[in-house]
Amino acid sequence: MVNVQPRQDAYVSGSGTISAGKYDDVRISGSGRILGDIQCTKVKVSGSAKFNGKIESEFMNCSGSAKCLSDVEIQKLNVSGSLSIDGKVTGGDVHISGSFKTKNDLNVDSVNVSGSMRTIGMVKAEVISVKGSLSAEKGAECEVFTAKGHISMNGLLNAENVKITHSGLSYGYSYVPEIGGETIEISRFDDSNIFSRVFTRVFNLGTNFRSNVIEGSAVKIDYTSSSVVRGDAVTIGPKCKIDLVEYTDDVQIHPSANVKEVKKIEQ
Amino acid sequence: MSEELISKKDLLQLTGISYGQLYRWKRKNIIPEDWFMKKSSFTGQETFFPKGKILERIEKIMELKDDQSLDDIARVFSISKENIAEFQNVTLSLDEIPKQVLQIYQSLLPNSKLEQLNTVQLCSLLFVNDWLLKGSVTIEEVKQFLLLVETHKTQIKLEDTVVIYIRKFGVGTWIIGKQNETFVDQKDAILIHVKLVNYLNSFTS
Repeated sequence: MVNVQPRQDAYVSGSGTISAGKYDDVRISGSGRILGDIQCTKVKVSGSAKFNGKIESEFMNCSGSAKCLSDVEIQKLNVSGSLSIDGKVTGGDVHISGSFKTKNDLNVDSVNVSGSMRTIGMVKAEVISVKGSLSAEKGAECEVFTAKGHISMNGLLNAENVKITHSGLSYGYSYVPEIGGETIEISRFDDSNIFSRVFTRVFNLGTNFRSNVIEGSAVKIDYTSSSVVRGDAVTIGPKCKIDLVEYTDDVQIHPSANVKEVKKIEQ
Repeated sequence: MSEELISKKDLLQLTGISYGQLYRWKRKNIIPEDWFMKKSSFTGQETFFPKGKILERIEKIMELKDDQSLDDIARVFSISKENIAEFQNVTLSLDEIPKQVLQIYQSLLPNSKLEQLNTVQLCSLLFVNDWLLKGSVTIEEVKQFLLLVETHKTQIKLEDTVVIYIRKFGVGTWIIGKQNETFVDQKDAILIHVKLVNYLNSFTS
């Protein structure tokens, strides 16, 4: 089981192919194709690369453009260019400042997006923080979810703490059908830009976060429309449109919110 | 099919747990995903649970959660759940595996995580301990067996698997095959020939 042979580096700086195997560093600065599964300590793509097999590596840095057709197992993934992965992604920290697309589930320690990330699967992590755009077709599960920007999901967002600051104008509507957790806070990004403030007024973009069900122990929402909000302590902020609010301990509703029905549930 | 259902709202009212707790348990997989059943109701969609199962599970969690971490509880449920599906009478947990065998396993595969062992692997570790105590095989031979199990861990099924160890001219070989479909030359020295299930039951009974 012990690998006695020292591993070797593989560099492509013009155009070339790398075959499957174990390497130390894999660097592609021109255009490269990796023919099979690779195991290595570092992958660096600054040109264009296509991985036909699995990638198992400690670090991966993609500042060019890369595509991987299979699973990726990684301790630290950094994307500042564009990366698309067809298989599952497992591992440690994922940091996106470019564009990242996956066709399968993501199961990692932390996800940090300051660019754009799109996945058809679901995202599972300890911490997810978004400062750009995140779209997850099957939802997300984490302990701490913080987002400032655009969120779009088609499944459940399940997190201990959810904090979403949405600014609908520049990205379009954010939509998460179901949110569940301990504390949920949804607020609107206060735009200091006078132009976009006027724009918001003129087109009456009052609510720009949409959901169907929001359930948490402590819920506080602003500028949000949802059919049902349930919780122990619920605070409905300005310009919300809610069909039904159910609470057990405490409820506060802002005068400018539009709430059709409020019910107190007796324990 | 006509299982009694309970809505999420009624469940929380009945058990006194909060939404935060329920979602936390779901995240940790202590409550299986497929117990969350979406049904349309007059307020749009509502979530329902199989009443008997969920009440029993929550009672158990409440019992355990004071002195165990959620991750430990999750492990208890994930291992016992797998077993209940296949054998009613067998439950295995990591605590039942003797330390010396775990040490052999870890020295062999230092990168593996013990929490991620599946039932087949847990079984194989129990067997290994037994064989080593009986002295029928050596540690080196056991390592070969563990490696074989490791490589095929997802393919091996508990129900119909036999484990055979033969030694011929001093050279030993492990065979893991399907019960009733694996044949060995009787002239060879067969040191071990066991059905995984029978053997497992003999441990627990």
